[in-house]
Amino acid sequence: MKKSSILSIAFIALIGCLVVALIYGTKLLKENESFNGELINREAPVFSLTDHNGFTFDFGKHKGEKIFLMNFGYTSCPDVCPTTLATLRNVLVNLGEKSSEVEVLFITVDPERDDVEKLGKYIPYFHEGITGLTGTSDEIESVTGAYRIFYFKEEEKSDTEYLMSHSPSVYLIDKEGNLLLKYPQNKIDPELIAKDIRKLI
Amino acid sequence: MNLYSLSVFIFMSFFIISCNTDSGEDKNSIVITEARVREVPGGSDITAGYMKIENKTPFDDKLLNVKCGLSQNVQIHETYIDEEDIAGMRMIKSIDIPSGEIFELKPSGYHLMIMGIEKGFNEKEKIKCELDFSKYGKVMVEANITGF
Repeated sequence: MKKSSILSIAFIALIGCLVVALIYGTKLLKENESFNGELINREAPVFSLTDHNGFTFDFGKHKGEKIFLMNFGYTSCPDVCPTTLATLRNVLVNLGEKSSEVEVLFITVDPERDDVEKLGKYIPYFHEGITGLTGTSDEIESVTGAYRIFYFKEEEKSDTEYLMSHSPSVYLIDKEGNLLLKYPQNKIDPELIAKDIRKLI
Repeated sequence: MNLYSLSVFIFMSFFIISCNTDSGEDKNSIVITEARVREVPGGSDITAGYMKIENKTPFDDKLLNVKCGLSQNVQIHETYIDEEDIAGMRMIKSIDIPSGEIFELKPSGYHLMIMGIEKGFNEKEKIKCELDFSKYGKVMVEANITGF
């Protein structure tokens, strides 16, 4: 074989390798850019509430320190809310050591019944990395308004026996303090959420 | 043995075999499987129960009421999530279970809302529940108490 033929083959092989690398690289890049959650990407509103240990939780001071996963619910909800909390616990378990860079916030939409004492017993049952937050009705209205969360009381049977309807989604706030992603009910999956977080850590 | 007796013998043999393999509680009955109740998180006195209900009877039936041990009240609820991303629950008076069909109570769908749970619930492995059907009557089931 002539020297020029060998050189041509080597050149074609090199071009081939470059094309494959380009295709593969673009694919990897695209995977990194896309998230499982739905993109929101606006600045996360700040708020101040009371945590399940009775301390003031000023989100303005914590914003940017960690990645936050946020969910709104209530403790007298037997099906959706504890399922979501268990899923968020599984996200933290899935992340292992990296879970120290993530904090889960569970904000009650039922401040009348979910006081500090109740949240203080309920939240630690799921995971130590979850913070339960409550406040006055006005404070809860203000934070839910800022995050565009809908909630309302269903028909009341009594002062203490009633159901709440609310947005069940999970929100992700990144380390830059952006309300980046929303996970609607059908995307609240520990692996999908953990995968997104790994891209952001 | 004539041909007639032989036929009767063979028929009876098949009948006995079929009775032995598919007898008792399964055939012509309402069969409950995968019955489970979640343990109660701290500070709460409510939880949810799930199961599969198979109507093997020849008639359509209806689940009317449920009672479970160590609790004061059980209601049948449906979780719904609407197009505007609102999740809510509504109380259901009864569940229709047509003959030959399986109805599943599962997370984020139809479930039992078990209220007024008494102390010691989480320490149990199983809890007895009684399901009351319109035609079939009462069915007792032991539901496993599970974590999340």
